[in-house]
Amino acid sequence: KMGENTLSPFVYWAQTDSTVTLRIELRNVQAPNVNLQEQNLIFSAVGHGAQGEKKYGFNLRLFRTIDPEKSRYRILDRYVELSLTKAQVEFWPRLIEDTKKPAWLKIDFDKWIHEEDLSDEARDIVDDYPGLYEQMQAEELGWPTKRESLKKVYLFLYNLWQFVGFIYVISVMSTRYLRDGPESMEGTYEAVGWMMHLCLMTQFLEVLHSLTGYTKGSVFEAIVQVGGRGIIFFCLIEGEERMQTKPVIFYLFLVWSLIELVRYPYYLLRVYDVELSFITWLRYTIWIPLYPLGFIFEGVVILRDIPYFDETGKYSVALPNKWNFAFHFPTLLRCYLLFFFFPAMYKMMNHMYHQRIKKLGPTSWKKKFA
Amino acid sequence: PGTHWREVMEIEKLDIYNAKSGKFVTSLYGLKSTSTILDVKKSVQQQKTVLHPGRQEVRLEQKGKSLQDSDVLQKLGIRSDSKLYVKDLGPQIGWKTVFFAEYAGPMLLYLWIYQRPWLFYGDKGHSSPISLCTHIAAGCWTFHYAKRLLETQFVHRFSHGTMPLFNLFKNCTYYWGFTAYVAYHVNHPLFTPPSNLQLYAALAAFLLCEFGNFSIHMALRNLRPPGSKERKIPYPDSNPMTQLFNAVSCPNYTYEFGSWVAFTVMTQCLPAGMFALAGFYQMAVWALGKHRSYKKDFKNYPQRKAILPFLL
Repeated sequence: KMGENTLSPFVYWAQTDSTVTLRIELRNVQAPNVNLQEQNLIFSAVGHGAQGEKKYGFNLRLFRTIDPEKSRYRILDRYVELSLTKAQVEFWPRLIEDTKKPAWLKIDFDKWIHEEDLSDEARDIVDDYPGLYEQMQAEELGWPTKRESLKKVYLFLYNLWQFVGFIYVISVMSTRYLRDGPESMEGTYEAVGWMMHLCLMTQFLEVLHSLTGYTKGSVFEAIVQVGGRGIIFFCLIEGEERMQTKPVIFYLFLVWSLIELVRYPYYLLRVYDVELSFITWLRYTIWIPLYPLGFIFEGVVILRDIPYFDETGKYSVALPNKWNFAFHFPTLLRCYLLFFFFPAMYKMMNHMYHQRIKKLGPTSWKKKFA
Repeated sequence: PGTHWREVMEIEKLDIYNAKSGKFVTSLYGLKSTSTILDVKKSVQQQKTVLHPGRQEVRLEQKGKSLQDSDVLQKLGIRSDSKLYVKDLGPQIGWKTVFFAEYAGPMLLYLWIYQRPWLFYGDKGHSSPISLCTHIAAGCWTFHYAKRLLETQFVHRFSHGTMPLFNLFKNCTYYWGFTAYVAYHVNHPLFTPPSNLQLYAALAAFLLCEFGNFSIHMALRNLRPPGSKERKIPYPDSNPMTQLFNAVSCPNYTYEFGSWVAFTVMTQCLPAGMFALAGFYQMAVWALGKHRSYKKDFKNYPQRKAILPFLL
């Protein structure tokens, strides 16, 4: 790992849709060590740079993966040039994964404008992203662009809206419970179902956020999370009145709300790159009791709904029909419970566990409170 | 005996490291400068019998490129005390075995469901006669997979000897799953066939595409002589079906997609359409990759699309 005292050379970078080039400003390089991995670039060498004849180095985690086998570098008198081939042909909004750019990493504006290796079909990619060049130049020089600020405001408002929505749900549910005890559970859907409906509908936006890169995280994960909840709520609860008055609805809404009451504040803060260690700890710990409970309550809803959907035939398509297509919703639900329920729960827990380790370290949360 | 200026040198010791962990595994003795990577793999197997050569990937660097079995140690700059990295690719299975499982399975499964077994249809299985369309569909499905089996045996030349065992499980789930899904609907007692005109027109299209697909496979086979690793740009030959090479890099996939579209129209069955789309998605991914690699390897590669003429 790079020591904190390692000097960093100036590095200029540019890209085409399929390659990334870097120019490391070091003269008379000796003993160079270039380590090209799939998503990491580790460099060290002795050379003449901005701080004179010293040892320089850096360790960059790239925005996306590259193909190390198809990448190359060459050492010249006045600089070191690297040509990295992206694993996927796509434009990178920045070179590294982190949104915070080190001061010594700069954009190679000359290369950006004068594209030398354009093939017949290629065009200057800057044209695809109007305003992006200006945005990058502005970022380079340290001013937040208008678009960037608007994006942050939007995300902040989105997360705030959801947070307020779930606070409402929890408040109403708690008030009713404090007043009427377990008897209040039956009327849960009637009291807060409409707000849940609103919040869960808005939640579909999170898939778009992931698709457009407004938020980090995989699109697939977003779809699974939002889609799964969507089916439970919109099909299994709103689609069957007899389910709406069952006590499990109270427990399910409670668990969902508690999860969101931690998740949205965490995102709220992250929009402006703020991190409160307690919130982070909560976000990456509260899933341990809440996710299994959520899964179980969802499973109960599915199980108890199967006979109802068998009876009503809702969401099912029967033969004969013009498209020779049959779909039996209760059978799908049974298959989910039999074959996917436990593996899905295991996968989810495993995924969160690894995220937790990545974020908090195996025991670092103890240190944060020390 | 006189010594040639390039002597065959003994490589007394070769250190083998695990490519995944980077840790030292074992040392190999008794290799020569003229030994090949395959000899190295066999030597490794002598010490760890479960690692047959097909399961090993040998590299010069821990995360470096895979070396070929035929590479000679001297040419790679390997001397005594050199380091090599070995990666365990996991249990392997021969490509031919995989293809038989992937093609014989769907063929037999469809034919079984064609009998309308009680397991899928209960007592209502024999409540209505089997339509002509259903018979023809069963014939087409069987024909398609029988053709694939024959091609696997006699036509195709495979570049790799084996593939990972997990792929077998994954691919069979896909093929067998979709077979059951489509077969269930087409052979259902309540299946509604389309008009005879639609049936026969689609059947003709299906047979044409099957023949087209076969023509491309034959053309590709003749492109590369047996045992050669030479890569060449495919061009149309005397068979008019191969003219499609002028429009796309992978006309075999184009014809295959055509077959399944024809099958869907023939049965007017939505699940068959879903199967056609799923297959198209996968084949498009492969075609785009192949197209890209053709363009990279051949500077003078003709203007073609990857899988759909003029479109993709």
